[in-house]
Parts: sequence; structure tokens; C-alpha cells
Amino acid sequence: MAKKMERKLDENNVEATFDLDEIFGRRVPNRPALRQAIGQEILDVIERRTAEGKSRFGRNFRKYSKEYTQSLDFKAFGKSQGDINLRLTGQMMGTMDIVRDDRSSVTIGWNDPKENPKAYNHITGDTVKKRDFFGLNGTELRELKAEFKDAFEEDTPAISELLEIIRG
Amino acid sequence: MRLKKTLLLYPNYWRSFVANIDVKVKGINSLELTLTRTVNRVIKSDHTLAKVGLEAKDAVIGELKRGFTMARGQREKLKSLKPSTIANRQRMSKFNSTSNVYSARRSNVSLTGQYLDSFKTKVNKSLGTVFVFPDGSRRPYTTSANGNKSKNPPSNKELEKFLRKAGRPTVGGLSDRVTRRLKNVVLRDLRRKLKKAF
Repeated sequence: MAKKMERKLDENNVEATFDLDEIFGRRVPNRPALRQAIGQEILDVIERRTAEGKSRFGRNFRKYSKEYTQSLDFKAFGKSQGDINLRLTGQMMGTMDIVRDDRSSVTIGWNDPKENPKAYNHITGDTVKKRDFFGLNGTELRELKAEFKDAFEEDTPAISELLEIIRG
Repeated sequence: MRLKKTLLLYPNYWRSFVANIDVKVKGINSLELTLTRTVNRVIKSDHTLAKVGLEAKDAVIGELKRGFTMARGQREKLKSLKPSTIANRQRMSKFNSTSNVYSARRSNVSLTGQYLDSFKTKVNKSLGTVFVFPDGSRRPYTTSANGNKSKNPPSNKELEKFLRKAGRPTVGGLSDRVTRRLKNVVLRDLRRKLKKAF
């Protein structure tokens, strides 16, 4: 059985692919614009949850090290110990994007080669404390399905309209 | 409705639409960010422009505090301080409250932090433009233990010009990486608008 979400974690390539047919439980129509909207919702969910300081599974992120909180970078970007949101310059979260899509899937990740290792380190805890923010959990996938389930039905009137236009 | 109909009739329209998103960067003594006319027509939102301006302002200030400027279109280290300047900064730090990123030897245009704290953004919705610039007046420095103050402190705009002439430009450009991030801010808002159409 295909997975709803599959992550690829490599230091130089971090991405997550969402199988829309599996998520919505049906063959989804081929609508590039709809996939962009779904992809954006996925990005927004991840960003919102990360901004609240929570991991993919809803646990609070581990605290910053004392060394880090005393660093110039930390002070320069106005952070505080309570701000555990994986945002320093904003470059990593701000460039997380839809990297590709096809009829039945949307893949998110980074096109910037500098951001992949950063994301990899946070997700796996390779060189920093592990703070896995990347992807959606089961509840979030169900909410995504609920959010867009009517978007497929709404195509139908527009298709009728299209037929009328074609027929003149 | 028109956007949705167009996108359903012409699926490839979305691709050309995305390619037209651009955040043009220019400026000398301020940073001017402009969205393309196509995007501005669809966005019609000073909220998006305000977000772009805020992200740009935070990026400019954060990098300056770290000792880097993007004023010339790429991230570069600010010119080092002369020994006399370092000595003067050490002296002034005894009589003035210093910024949390102050260090006598660090070239990051931060002694008291007034200059960087003065940065503002201003949105012009009709032009699709947002400006980022230093503004306002400055508090005089205390120059001695007696409490003497510096006379006629320059405005922050005047200080910007002075810094630029001294080879430490602070505002007027962004690195490519930050510009790409700002383009993403706009792209994301366009997608959210799309979601509402569905």
C-alpha cells in the first residue's frame, strides 16, 4: 500500500512527497493550480506548528544550548531562549517550497543548496539537537483532506461552463 | 472567480504567472522593493507588501549587526575599524548604554543601537513598492563623565550618508538569497489567494 507521505533525508537533498491519491482516497483530477494550493497549505501547516515550537509529533522542541544563546547571531536577530522556532535569519523556513508536482503528488523541500544541510541537521540531530519539524503527522493529513475534499467537486460547474464556451 | 476560470481553462497560465513574480530591488540611501505590475494587480494587498518590507528590514538589520552589509547587492563584510575608532568606541562605551551586539572592535554600525533601531518600512500600494530606510533624529552621545553631550547629533538619514561615504554602506541592496526569499513571500500569498478560489 502506497504511503501518504514519504520523506527523503539526505544531507544534500531533503524532501517530502505527498501522494494525493492516497491522502484523498480517490484519483485526484490533474489540476496544477489545485496542487499549488494544497502544497501551500502543507507549507503553512509546517510553518505554523514550527513557529509554536512544536515538532512534527507535537512535542516541544528541545531548548537552545547556553553557548548558542550567548552567540552574536542569536543577539543580532533578536532571539530569546523561549523562541525555539528554528528561525534565525528566516532563510530556511522562508525558502521551504514546492519543488515539484505531478498529477497525483506534491513534493516539498529546498532548491537552495545551503538550506538542505541545515534542514537535515535539524531533522536528524546530526550536528545540532534533533528538532524534527519536517512533514505532516496523521492528524494534519486528515485535516488536509477535510480542507480540500470539496475542491474536487467544485470543478464540475466550471467544467460545464467550459463545455458551454467550447460549444458557443 | 475570473482567476479560477482562467486557471482551469489554461492550466499552463499558472506556470507563466509564477515566472512573472519578481521583487525588484534598488536604492541608494534607502531600499526600494517593487513587485511586478501583474503580481501587484492580483495581490492588491498592502499586507503582502508590508510582509516583504518587514522581512527585508529584519534581514538588513540582522546582517549589519553581524558585521555584514548587503547594500551593494551581495553579502560582504563591513570595513574594519581604525585603531583610533576602536579607542573612541571603548571610551564612549563607558558613558553610554551600548547595544547588545556592541563590541569595541566589531565593525557593525552599533554603539548604542540607535541607528539600526531607527529603520522603518513604508508601503506604496498603488506602485506595489515598499521602502526600507533609516529615519528620525538621534539622541546625543554622552561624551564625558561630567555628563557632557555631543552637540548637534546628525539625523539617521545623515548618518546613513556619512557611513556610505566612509565606505560602509548600510542600505540599498539585498543578496540574491534574501531576494529569492522575498519572492517566496509573494508566491506564498498568491497560492493562498488561489486556495480561496477553490
